[in-house]
Amino acid sequence: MNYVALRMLFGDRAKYLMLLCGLTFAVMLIVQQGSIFWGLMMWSQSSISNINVPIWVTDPGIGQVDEVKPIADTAVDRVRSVPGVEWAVPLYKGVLRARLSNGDYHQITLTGLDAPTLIGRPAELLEGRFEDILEPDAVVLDQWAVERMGGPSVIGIGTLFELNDKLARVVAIAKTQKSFTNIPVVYTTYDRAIRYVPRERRTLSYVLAKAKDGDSVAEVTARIHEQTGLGAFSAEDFGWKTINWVLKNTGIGINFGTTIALGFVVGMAIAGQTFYLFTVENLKQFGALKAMGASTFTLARMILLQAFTVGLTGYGVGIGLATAFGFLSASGGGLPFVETWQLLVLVLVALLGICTLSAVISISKLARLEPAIVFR
Amino acid sequence: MSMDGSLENSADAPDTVHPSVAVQVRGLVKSFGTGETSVTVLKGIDLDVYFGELLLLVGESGGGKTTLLSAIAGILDVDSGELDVLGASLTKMAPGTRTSFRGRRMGFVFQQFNLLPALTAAENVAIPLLIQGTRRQEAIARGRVMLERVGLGDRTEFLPRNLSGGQQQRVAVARALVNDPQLLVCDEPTAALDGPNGQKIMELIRDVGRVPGRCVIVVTHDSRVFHFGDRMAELTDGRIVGVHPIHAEATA
Repeated sequence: MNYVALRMLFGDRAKYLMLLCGLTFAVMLIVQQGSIFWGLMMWSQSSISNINVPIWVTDPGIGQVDEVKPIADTAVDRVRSVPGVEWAVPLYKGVLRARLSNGDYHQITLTGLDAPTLIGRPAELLEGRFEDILEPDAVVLDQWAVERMGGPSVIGIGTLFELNDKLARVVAIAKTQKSFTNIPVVYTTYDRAIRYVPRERRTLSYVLAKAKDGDSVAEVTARIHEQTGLGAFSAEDFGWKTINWVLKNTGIGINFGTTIALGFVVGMAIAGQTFYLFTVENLKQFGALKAMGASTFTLARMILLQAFTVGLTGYGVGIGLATAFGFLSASGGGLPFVETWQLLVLVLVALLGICTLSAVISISKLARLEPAIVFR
Repeated sequence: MSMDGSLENSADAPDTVHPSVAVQVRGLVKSFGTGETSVTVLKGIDLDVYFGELLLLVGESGGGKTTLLSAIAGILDVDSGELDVLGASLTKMAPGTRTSFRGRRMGFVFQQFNLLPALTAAENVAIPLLIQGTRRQEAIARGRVMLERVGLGDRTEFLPRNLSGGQQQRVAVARALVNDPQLLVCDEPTAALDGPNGQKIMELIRDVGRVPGRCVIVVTHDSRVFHFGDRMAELTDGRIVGVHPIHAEATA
């Protein structure tokens, strides 16, 4: 009877397409919004992923990566002295204003890296050589800085600009993940960074570290915290800490959550109701099958097959459309869009759940159906 | 119990059903609704239907014809009374067993055909076999053979919407007979058809349905097809007011 069930489903093309559209729309909306939401969360911790080191050490009260709480310069040596630490280097991170030769001002995030090792440098360059950062007044921009500060015609390799009245010269353009705030990132050495910024009692933003081979990151971070009193986090934990901070302290979580929930409820309600109506409209046909000897179990199997067939088809098409949207709109990292397998599994489970629910409602109606309906 | 089907009192009913009796109904009562809105549609029906005969159930609208047919077909629960069909007591049968029993032993022809619009004629005919678990190819092949028997051998792959009303009812008759049922129940099979097509359908039902070992019950109010029956049971206000042999009337 599976064959009959599928022919009944596909036979009424208009109803089938309406069902499919409802489910596709619901899936697409949830996946698209969910992926944009997750993309934004990834952007919120882009400083962590761009610098890409295993351990971050800073003030224990820090909320998120961009909320810098300077610590004493001696922290680097204290961290280095903790057993299990292979290396530890300083990192400066602060906000400054850049003045271009055309008179424009732009707020930038200044990132100062340890000069001897350049640990924390971006993995990929679009132009120039990162090692040139060691030259006098040299800085490296990320690609978003070029975009935000006027484009390649205004700023590029060799361009001079001012940071706090001091000269900076662009020697390379790095490819990085866009940040949540989209503030241009300017890389330089740690020593030069603290010369650019106004004098402060404490200038060290973070100590970046790595555990020795054989020591787990969790053990080493716990040891650093225990022995130095500083906050030490694995990159993953620091990323989650940042995401949690954003969710708690901005409206993004509630806004996106509401949109996703509404999309889910509306989409699924449409899909569930359409499928239920599809069954109700076919009630006489099901009644005829029941009269001819089809058991309620057989009919239930037919309805579940129809529900899962249209559900899985809608899921596939919806995912395809959402992915195409992501590919077209977010290619090159211009828009936040991160489609995770966890989201896809979650949507699949939810979709099959709503299909099952609407099928069960339809089945309960069928179970109560007197086949004598066919004689009326 | 007489072969002319004269009214019988349930108190006189034998304990065992005579082998020639396909359907034995005793004291059947069926009401719809509850309380003040309750309507008793069948008020103690007694009736015998024999193998090899075509019985017509006739009477005024609302008299209980279709309700009685539904009860005999096992698709409607009754309030009280005995219902022995093809040697089994439908009133004592569990619903699941009754469904399976219907599928194996009965065939149905409905007033509105009830063909599945998405399936071809051959596939529609194959449905009772598919329900019984016959493999699809075999079931459809047997459906095609059955369609040839009802004169639609050249329409096996047509969808119902591409068939005339008469042709659709022929498909429905083929579907009702494909699993070789012992009881064929037909509800107003000519109601949706014009005169000539109605005659042809009744001819078909009589020719392919009324064979030894099978009986046919037809609900109809179409007097033009009365002569196809062997006997006629007349229902009025939920009671059988008479059961008559037809040939004498038809030839009169």
